[in-house]
Amino acid sequence: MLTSDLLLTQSRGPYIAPRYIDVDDEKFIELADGLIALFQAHEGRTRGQLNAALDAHQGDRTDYRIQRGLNKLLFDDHCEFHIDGPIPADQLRDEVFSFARENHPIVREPGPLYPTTAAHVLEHMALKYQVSSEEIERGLYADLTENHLLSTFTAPDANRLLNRYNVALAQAMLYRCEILYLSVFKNLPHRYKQLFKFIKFYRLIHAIEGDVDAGYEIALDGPVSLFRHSQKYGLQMAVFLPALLLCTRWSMRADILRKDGRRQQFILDDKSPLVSHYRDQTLYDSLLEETFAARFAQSNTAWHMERESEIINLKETVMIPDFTFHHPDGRTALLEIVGYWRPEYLRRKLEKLRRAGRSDLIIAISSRLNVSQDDLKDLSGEAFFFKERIQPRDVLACLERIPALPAQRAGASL
Amino acid sequence: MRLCFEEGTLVLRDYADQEIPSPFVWDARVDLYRAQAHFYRESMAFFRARNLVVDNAAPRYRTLDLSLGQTPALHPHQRESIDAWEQHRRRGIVVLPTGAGKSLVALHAIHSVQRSALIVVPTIDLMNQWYDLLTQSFSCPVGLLGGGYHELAALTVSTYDSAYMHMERYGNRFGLLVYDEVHHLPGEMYSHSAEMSIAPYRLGLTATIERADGRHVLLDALVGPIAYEKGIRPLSGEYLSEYRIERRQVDMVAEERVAYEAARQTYRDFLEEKNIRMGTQNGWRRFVQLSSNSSAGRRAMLAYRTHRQLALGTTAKLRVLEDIFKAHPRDRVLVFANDNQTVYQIARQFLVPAITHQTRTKERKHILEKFNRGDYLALVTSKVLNEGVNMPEANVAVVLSGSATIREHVQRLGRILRRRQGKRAVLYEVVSANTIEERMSQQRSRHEAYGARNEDEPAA
Repeated sequence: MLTSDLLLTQSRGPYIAPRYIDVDDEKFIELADGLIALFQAHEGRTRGQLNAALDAHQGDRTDYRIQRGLNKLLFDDHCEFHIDGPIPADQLRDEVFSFARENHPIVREPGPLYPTTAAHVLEHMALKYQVSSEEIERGLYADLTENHLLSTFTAPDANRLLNRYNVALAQAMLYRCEILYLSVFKNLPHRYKQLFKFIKFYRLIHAIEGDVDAGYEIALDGPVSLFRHSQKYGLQMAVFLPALLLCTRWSMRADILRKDGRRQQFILDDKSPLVSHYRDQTLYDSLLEETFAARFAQSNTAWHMERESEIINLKETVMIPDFTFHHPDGRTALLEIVGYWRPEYLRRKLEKLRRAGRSDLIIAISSRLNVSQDDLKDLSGEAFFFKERIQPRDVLACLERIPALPAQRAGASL
Repeated sequence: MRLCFEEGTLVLRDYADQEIPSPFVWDARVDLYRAQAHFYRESMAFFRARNLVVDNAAPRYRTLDLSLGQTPALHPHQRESIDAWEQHRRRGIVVLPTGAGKSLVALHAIHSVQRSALIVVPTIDLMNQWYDLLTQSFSCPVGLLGGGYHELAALTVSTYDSAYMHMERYGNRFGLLVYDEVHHLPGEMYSHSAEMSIAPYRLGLTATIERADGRHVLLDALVGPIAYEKGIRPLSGEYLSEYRIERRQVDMVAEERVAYEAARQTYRDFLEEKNIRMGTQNGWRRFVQLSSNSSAGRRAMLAYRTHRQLALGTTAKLRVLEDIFKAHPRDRVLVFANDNQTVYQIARQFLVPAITHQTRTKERKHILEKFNRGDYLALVTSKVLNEGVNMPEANVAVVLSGSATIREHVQRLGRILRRRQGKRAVLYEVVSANTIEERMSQQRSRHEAYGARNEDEPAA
């Protein structure tokens, strides 16, 4: 990620946005390629030398801050450094300085009172270790960051670097964010699940308004946000952002507190060209679901199935059922698949299902899990077990037992 | 009803319509009453006054049985500080000059409270120094939070950064917070650490409480009121060493002077062309703005930096430094330089140890020990030793360059003022003649401690 000083912004009225670069612009591709080549050329040389070369490359060019941003990403994500010297540097220093202390002060020109120069001391050490005095001099501070040697550089391609840079700009913008509002609309359950997994992982607190048809507005901040505007959670929001980018239908509004005390809004949505570098880890979940979806579509029933999910807000957490069913007579139902969970997760999952308290919720439980009928006794909805695959007929049987509901959905305001 | 500590706040679980303290507000996001953690003491007083039964699950700090080992006898101002702080219900700030023994006040406060304590300090050096001090004074484990360490113990030392980062997790682990150099605390970020802790007892220490941004007024709520205050002059001589100041002017070497004037001309031409006046408030901002828009501006900015760097006149100063070393061959000399590049240049030229922010804990400790023992006679450092690092044996300080801030300068001075019998300290200030550095030197001398040389105010 970038440091705040590398963030380039533009303001217009109440809005503020990063100054993204056009990843297809030849000028930037050339710049990225140039920097990558410089890094490559410095394999085996010191960080200080690389920095000097990068400074020289910046020269009097006005895009120096973009260059520094790209360099930061290259240093952080693509470089490995190591320390090189005849003997450990701290040990060498101790010896050199202790020897020098006996001849203190060290002078430029030897005189009768103070006859010792730095060259004398270095030669003495060189003799002792059977190396050249240049090596002693170099080794004295070989452990300083700027003297570290670039051992390997794994070059990214220019496009990847430029995309990463744009995301990093948006992330850096969020460092100064006090509250983040997300609007999400009809995403697939595994997208929502992933989103909330990250919200929870980064210890953000959510407040949700809306419903499945109108879409949801989710406000994100942290515990102390209740008492004071705080940027304490800005960093958490920044690392959360790439997870949001994996969603399909969303928009975002971030309240940014500028250094001068002004507040502005940073707006972003799914039409932005930002490309997440987080791995989309939803494949396994969706496999089980997709098989079921395909089989259900072939069954002969009036029930219509949708994958776009509802978010049931349980305040400190959420529940996101995997499927939503609609019947022409107005009945609706939700299906939650309890697939492969470790025991402690399962316990919490069942607790969540209880708290949801929805009578229109059908739960499909893997028979591989150590769950008995007893564990399910005070759940409010229907439940059944499945082996490898979920059979549409089991779901249909449950659906048929769903009673016709009055206009408002039970538990929707929980 | 159960009082719990969660993520830097207090929450009421199993709440059933009882009377609750006013700092608690309804958090609809999670359906709970929540308060900032630092209202813990007030909340407990509320429950107690009303005889309300509350399951108090918040605190996870311990009562200790510390005995204070061998420490110096208390001077009157130290005794008075501790008494005053205790009278303020063990919440408050002690303002004493650098070198007046604030750490000893803290040790007695820790001993007086006997609860798990967190000591928060601004730098890694101070963290190491407090670690040593606590280990020596109390025979109990001491933990570190920051500088690559993450271990909690009955007594723990942390940096302000780490306290800010981790208090939401550990805010209930300490009954006492000690903020060293407490003027850092009221910042937008750092203040969270005081708010996210339930510690009922708090002590702040500083030499200068005022902040340019005025936020020091927040300290009352975060730590407590000023419990005790004493200035630098009344203590000088009696409890601090006598000191004198010698100012050395040096002329830049010819090559540097030529380069300096060239760089100066480059940026001044640009300013003139763009009609920017640097003295004005907008001048600097416009210069920064224009410098990122054009190559000419960029060159002017680079020239400006070069001229600032050259103004330090390093080459000539190192010759003066050699003379000072020769004049004090058996004294303990501390050399301060502004930038790391100069620090390492001095280390390489005179083969004396250097301490910068890059120096690792073990080596830093090793160097300071050897310096205090006399196994090293000189030590060169950048800004990192500014605040309160204990070097009782140092008696000569050389300020080769520095920023124009007053606080930094006084703290450097304080470094060599630790009281020792018959000690006479010297502070050398080496300044490049006929450069912008002259003005910076005048600015940093404008402080009470330099009263005799101050032109704006009559000498005390």
